[in-house]
Amino acid sequence: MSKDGEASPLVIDDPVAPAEMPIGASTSAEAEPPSDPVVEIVALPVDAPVGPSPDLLPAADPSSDISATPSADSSPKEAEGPQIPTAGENAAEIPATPQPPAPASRVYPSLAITFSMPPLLEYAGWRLLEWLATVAVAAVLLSVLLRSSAPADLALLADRLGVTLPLLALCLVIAGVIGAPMGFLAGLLGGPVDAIVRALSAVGTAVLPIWLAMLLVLVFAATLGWLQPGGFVPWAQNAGGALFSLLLPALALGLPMALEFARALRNGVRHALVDPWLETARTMGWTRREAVIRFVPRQALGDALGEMLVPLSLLVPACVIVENVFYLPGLGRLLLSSLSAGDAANLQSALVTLVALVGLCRFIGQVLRGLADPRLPGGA
Amino acid sequence: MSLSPPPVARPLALPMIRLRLAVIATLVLLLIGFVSIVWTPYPVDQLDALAQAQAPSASHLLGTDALGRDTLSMAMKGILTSFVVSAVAAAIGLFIGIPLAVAAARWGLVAERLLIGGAGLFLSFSALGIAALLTAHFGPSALNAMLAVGLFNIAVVARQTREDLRAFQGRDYLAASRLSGLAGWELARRHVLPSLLPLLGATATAQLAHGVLLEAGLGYLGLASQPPGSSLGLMLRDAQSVMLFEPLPMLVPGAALLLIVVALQVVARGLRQEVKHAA
Repeated sequence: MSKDGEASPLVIDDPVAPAEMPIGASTSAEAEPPSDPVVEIVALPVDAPVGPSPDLLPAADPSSDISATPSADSSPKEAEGPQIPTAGENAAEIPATPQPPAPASRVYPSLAITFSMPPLLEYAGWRLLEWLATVAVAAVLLSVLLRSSAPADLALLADRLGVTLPLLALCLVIAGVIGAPMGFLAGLLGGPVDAIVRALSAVGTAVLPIWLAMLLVLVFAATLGWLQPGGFVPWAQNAGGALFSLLLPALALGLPMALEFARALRNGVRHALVDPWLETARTMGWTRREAVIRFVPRQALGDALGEMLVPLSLLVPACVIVENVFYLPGLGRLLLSSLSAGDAANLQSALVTLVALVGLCRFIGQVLRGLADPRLPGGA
Repeated sequence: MSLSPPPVARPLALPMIRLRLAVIATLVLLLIGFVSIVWTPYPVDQLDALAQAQAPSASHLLGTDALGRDTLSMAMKGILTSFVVSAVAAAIGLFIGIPLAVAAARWGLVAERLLIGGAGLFLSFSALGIAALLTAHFGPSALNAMLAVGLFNIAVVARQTREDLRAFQGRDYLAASRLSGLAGWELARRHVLPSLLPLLGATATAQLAHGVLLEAGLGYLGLASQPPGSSLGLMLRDAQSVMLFEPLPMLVPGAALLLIVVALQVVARGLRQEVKHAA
C-alpha cells in the first residue's frame, strides 16, 4: 500500500509547495495512503498557534508514506481523540466531516518533544539521493578526466578508510560534545561566558588545523609525553591503541569544529531568544523558562546546523591533510602516494571516496538539522 | 556663529574599534608581504650552511631553519605568497560566482537548482580534490593552488550571494520600484546592487581568509608553491621534522597565518554586521 511513494511530486523539497495545499484537500484518491503519519501532534491543539504545529502541518504530506506502520491503519483514529485533521482512511470523507475543535483543556500543551518521522524520512531520502547523485556525477567526471583503465585497489582503499572513517567520527563527536554545551551556555548566559566563548571561537575558526596538530604534538606528545606523536596501531592488533593514536588528530580537527559550532549555536540561541514567537508563547500562558526550554534549543540547533553545512564539508579535506601530520595511513596517504606515483586508478578511487565522505558529512549535518528543526528547508 | 550644537566626540563602540584594529593589522601584514618583494633581511633562496638551526639572535631575529634560511625572511615571503594566491583565488570566485548567482536569481527555479547542484559538486570535491586533479594533469605549482582555491571559491561565493540576494526579494521598495516601471537589470543595478555591495565586500574578505588557510594546507601537502618559492604551508612542512628540537620555525608561520586569518575574519564579520545594523 506504499507503492505510491514514487508518485510523490518533485516539489516536496520545496518548503513552500506543501504549505499552499490545505491538508486533506488533495482529492486524488490514489494518493491517499491509509496512514496517520503524525502521531505526537496530538498534544498540540488545532487553534493554538504555538510552536512548530503550523510548520508540522505541511510536513504531514499525504504522499509521505515511507514508514507507514501496519498498526497505523488498524488502530481506529477516534481512539486518539480530537486532533489535527490528517489524511484519513477515506479521502472522500475528509472534506465532508471536519474534525471537532479541540477542547479548551488542551490549550496548554505538554512539554513533550514532537517528532514526525515520515516527513523527516522523506527529507532524509531526498538528501540521500542528492548525495548519491553527487557521487555518481563525480565518478563519471573523474573517469573522463583521469582515463584510468586499471582497476582500483579496493582492499587498499578499505584499509585506508579504516583510519579515516573513525577519525571523522571522532571529530564529529568531539565537535558536538564540546561545541554544543559551549554554544548553549554562551547564548543563554551571556556576559563573561559569552565573551570568552566568542573570543575562543574567533581564534578557533582561524587556526590552521595542521598547525594546531603540531602544537598538540608539541604539548601532549613531546613535553608531557601522554599521547603518541604519530603513527598508527592497526585495529586488528590493538583496538584501544588504534583509538588512542587517533585521539590527537581528532582533537586537532575537532576543536576548531567545536568552536565553530559553538559560535553558530550561540548566534542561533541569541536570535531565538528575541524571536517574536517567544512572546506568543508567553501570552499563551507558558512561563518564560518553559518556553525557552521547549523552543529555543531546537530553533538554535536548526539554525546552527544549517550554518555548519559548509564547515562540515570542509572537515574531510582538513582530515585528509592532518592525517599527514601524524603519519596516519589514511585516505590522505592514498591520495598523495597515488598522485606522486601517477597511479590514475587509485587516485580516482581516492577522489571519489573523498567526494563521498564530504557528502556523508553533509548528509549527517542535514539529517541532524531535520531532527532538530522539522521545518525541513529545501535547499542548503 | 552657527546655531547647531558643537559636535560631541562620542566613544567608538567596541565592534567599531575591533574592526579598525583588524583593518590596521591586515594592512600591516600586507605591507610586510609587499616589502618582501624588494627587501628581506636575508635572501630566501640561498642556504647558509654555517647558520643552520640557530636560535633567535641579533643577526637572525627569528632564528634560522634546518637548512640555514632566515625564518623571518621566509615568513615575509610566505605572507606575500598567501595574500597573492588567495587574492587571485578570491577574484576568480567573485568574478564568476556573483554573475552566476545573479543569473540564477533572474532565470528562476531551474537555474537555481542547477546552481545549487553545481556548487554542491564543487564543494564536495573541495579545493583539495580540485588541486589533486590539476596536479595530476599539470604537475604541482602555485598556479594550481590559485586555480583550485578559485574554482572552489566560485561555489562558495555563488551560494553566499544567492542567499544574500534572497534577502532582498521580499523588500517593499523593490515592489514599489517595480510598480513604477523598473524591471530586470535596471532594477538590480539601481536598487539591489548598492545594498548588496557591502555584503559582497564581506564575502570577498571571508574568501580571502579562507583562501589563505586553503593555500597553506595545499602548500603543506606540496600541491602549491614549490621549494624555491616560499609559502607558509611549505615552512610548516619543512619545520615539522625538526619541531621537537627546534619549535620556532614551526611556530612562526603558524602564528603568521593565525594573525592574517583572524584579522581578515574580523573584518568580514564586521562588514556584515554593519550592513545588518544599517538595514
